[in-house]
Amino acid sequence: MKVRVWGSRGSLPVALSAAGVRGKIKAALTAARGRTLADDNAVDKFITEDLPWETSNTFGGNSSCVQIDAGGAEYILCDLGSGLREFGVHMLAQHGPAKPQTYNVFLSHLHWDHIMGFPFFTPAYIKGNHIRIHACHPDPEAAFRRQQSAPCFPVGLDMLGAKIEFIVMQPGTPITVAGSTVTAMKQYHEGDSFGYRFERKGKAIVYSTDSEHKQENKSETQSFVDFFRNADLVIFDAMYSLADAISLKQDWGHSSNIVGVELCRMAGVKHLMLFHHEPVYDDAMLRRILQETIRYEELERGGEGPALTISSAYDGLELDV
Amino acid sequence: MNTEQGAPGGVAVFKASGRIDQNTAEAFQNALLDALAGASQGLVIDMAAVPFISSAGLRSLMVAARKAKADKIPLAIAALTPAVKEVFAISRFTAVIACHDDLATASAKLKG
Repeated sequence: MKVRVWGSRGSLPVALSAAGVRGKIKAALTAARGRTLADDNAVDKFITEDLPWETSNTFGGNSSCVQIDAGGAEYILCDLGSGLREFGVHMLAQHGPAKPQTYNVFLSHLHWDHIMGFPFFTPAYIKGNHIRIHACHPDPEAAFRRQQSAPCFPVGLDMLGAKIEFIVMQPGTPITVAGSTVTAMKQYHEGDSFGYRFERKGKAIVYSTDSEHKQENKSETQSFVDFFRNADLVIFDAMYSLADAISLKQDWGHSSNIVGVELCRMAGVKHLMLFHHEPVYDDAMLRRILQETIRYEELERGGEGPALTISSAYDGLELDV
Repeated sequence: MNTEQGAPGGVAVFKASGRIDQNTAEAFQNALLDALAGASQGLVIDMAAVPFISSAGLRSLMVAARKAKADKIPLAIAALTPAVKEVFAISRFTAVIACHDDLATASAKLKG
């Protein structure tokens, strides 16, 4: 299985500012001072090996959209945030407009940042494409119709050329889609959200965003440990610091890097991917949070048991599972 | 874990000990709230014998901090071990409760 992240930001898309770009250029030029960098290879090597990641890269700013490539002909997507637009561009470049495709979508919930990319998803305008939107909320179609109604957007849902289906799933009842077994689980978030576990040929990926873990009783914690159990990858809402998540931002429906480490360690997960990044954080802060999370895992493990691999999602990240 | 009441009318000290995680946080929280109830002049939580604290333990500290604020009882933490100091920094918990290097400094701050 393979994961491609098209949007990793929480709540609101953001863009790197002019000041941010200038800061990266200045940092790169400062680091290059005194070097010859005589040819393109030397420049590439310098960028890849010598510059800090937050200088040579960016986490990006699109809201939630993750592709899960399970090896089948049909596509699987988790959420339809603003990252979906770029996925659509990629699809047209890869297949052209004349070759119909089937897209299977799994929605964590219907908040705007998780569906806002759909009106800009070019394949939805092309006859022959088939879009199957799975959700655990009772009437997901209403949210899409509202989003594509005046005065919000000029093109109504009925004007789209693709065949669009809305499929309501039941949490805890697995279904088979595009060769994967998919199971949903209810999560704590305003209006409810749902995580999804994708399993195929002994591999498991869990997509669990917009989920607050209050850990008020052991059964609640255990239910997530069971859902995450032995997963090869858990994509986890780590939007807030723990202090914020249990004080100022309690009941805002998001979790922390620390709880992500603890749940994944209890569940025997192999790889934790931090996701749904706070929009006010810049690349340096998100990189710092990743390093701190890796350190917390070392402290929490105390040298016992297998290490948990930890990464932080960024727009454009591809990962083999 | 035990609580040492200071001089009459003085600041009490709650001595925490051992790893505070999901297995021990409930007992830690109950003992801490008991200590807080008898510490009207202020309470210092001595963390010198705590090698690690998880989110469950930090939540217990948050409960105590809220209770202390509601009851207008001065509360501070003293003597974080290196690992716990790191956890406080990573979790941004240093902004929740005042942390001091040692008991004497913490007590002096609470006596104010």
